[in-house]
Amino acid sequence: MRSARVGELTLALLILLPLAASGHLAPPGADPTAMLYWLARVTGVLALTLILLAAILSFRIPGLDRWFGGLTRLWSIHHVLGWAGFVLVLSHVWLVAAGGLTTSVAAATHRLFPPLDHGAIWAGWAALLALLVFLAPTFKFFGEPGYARWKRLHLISAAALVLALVHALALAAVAWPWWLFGALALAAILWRKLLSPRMAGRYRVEAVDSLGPDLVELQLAPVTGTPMAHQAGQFVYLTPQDPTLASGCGEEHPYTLSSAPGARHLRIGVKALGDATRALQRVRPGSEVRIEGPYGDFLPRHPQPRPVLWVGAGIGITPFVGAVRAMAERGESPHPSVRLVYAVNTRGDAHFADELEALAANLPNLSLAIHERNASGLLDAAWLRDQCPDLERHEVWICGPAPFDRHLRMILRAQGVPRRRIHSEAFHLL
Amino acid sequence: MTPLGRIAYTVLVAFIASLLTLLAIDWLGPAPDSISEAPHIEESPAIRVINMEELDRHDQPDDCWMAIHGQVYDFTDYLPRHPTPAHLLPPYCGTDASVGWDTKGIGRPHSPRARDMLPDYRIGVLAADPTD
Repeated sequence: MRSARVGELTLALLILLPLAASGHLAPPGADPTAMLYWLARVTGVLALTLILLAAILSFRIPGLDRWFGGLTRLWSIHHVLGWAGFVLVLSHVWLVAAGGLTTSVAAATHRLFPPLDHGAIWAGWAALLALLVFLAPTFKFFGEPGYARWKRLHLISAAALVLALVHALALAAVAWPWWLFGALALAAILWRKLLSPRMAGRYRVEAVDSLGPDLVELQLAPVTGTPMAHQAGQFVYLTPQDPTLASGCGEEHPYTLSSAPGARHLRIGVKALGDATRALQRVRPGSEVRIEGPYGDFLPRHPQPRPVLWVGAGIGITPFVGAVRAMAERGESPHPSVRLVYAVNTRGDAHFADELEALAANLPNLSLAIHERNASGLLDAAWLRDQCPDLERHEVWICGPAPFDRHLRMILRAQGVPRRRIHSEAFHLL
Repeated sequence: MTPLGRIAYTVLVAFIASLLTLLAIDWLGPAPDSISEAPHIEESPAIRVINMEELDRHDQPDDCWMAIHGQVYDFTDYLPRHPTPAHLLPPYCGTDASVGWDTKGIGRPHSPRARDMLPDYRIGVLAADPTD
């Protein structure tokens, strides 16, 4: 957790760097026109800073995400930075016009729409347009975009950045922060889209174990060498290379590792939630996949002083499966205790239940409880109290869909578990 | 839409609305030139007296003069921008259009903004009617 704060603190300082370097930290005085011009510059500088930092944070280098509390958290920061940048861009344009309005309406329009030879201004407009095109699907302005289409559209961000940099470099008083951030942002995009996929680990699908009608567990062995080192509960981006797949060949998606650290094979539970995951249920054994990772900082790497409650909903059980397998392999019973709750709709959906029960039988301090929604209704405080009478003493980890995560957090907070002791990893588009 | 998306969308709609408002005010408001140049035209020595015969010769949409309350205006450039349907105005070219100006054909006078635009197009005064 301490390293997470280091990343955020660095980010906060970097946000202020271009503003300070351009000498825009203090307002110019009481004159309304000067004030509006200053605000227009401040919003413009901040907007570009945030968008460039969002781009820089998309580097996705395994290990570095821990500085920000894991990749899921890093993506949240990336999302908020992009959002704030977008809102600031609109404010910037509006304030540029407002600065002209103190003279006349014509002056305001002229500032926004000068003759065509004012290339820097029009580059700014083009950047805003590009920003709109790739952010509209991100914010789901017009409904839910497909994952692959959303990812392709997100590449327009590179064009938006270049145009915004042209705009800023032509108009800024101090250029070096833009050269610096711009170079880092474009390097991050190049790394992500060109270099890192080529350097991804090559694995072969050894086995496809069917655990249910829409759930398989892939066993992956490295083409050469040993599997990547990882912690329990971490995840990877997997790109299947099987051309016979109905969908998603060559398309990367994030999956949680369910294998124990140090095992001979990497194992990944894949639930059919969309076209690509459905197709992956029928991936051919022997075909190749590319793996990037590991990412995430969900489960702690060291023993905990407090009793632990793990709650996995549906496919959200996979990080805990990896952790339990690791304990079983090491023959280490958790200390002081781990209560694992597996939340499913029916017992038939609890595909990992048999294995978990068998492993828990040999681990004295680990106990498993299965919550079936169809039989017991929504998971509530009374049911949790039955499982953990001293609930408020526990440190809690939750993995499941976002609505489940919110629901459970609300219950835990009401039951006296402080926010800092609730950790969760909700799935969403990554 | 995501919660942050809703805020972004709201800000975007407000942004576009205010931008369109600004553009509308700029396009529909009095041209800044007319305000500054109106007095200049008023004092211009080039103002000349135009009689009905000369007025009558400029009766085409592509050469359209009109007299309004004793002043003569060249509306050739303005005609395409006038808000009424295109066929309504040309019949007034080359005539004294004072009644049309006062009533717009529907019993309502032209707006103050329209009145402010008149000096832009003034080219002279109408000669007194010799039968008066």
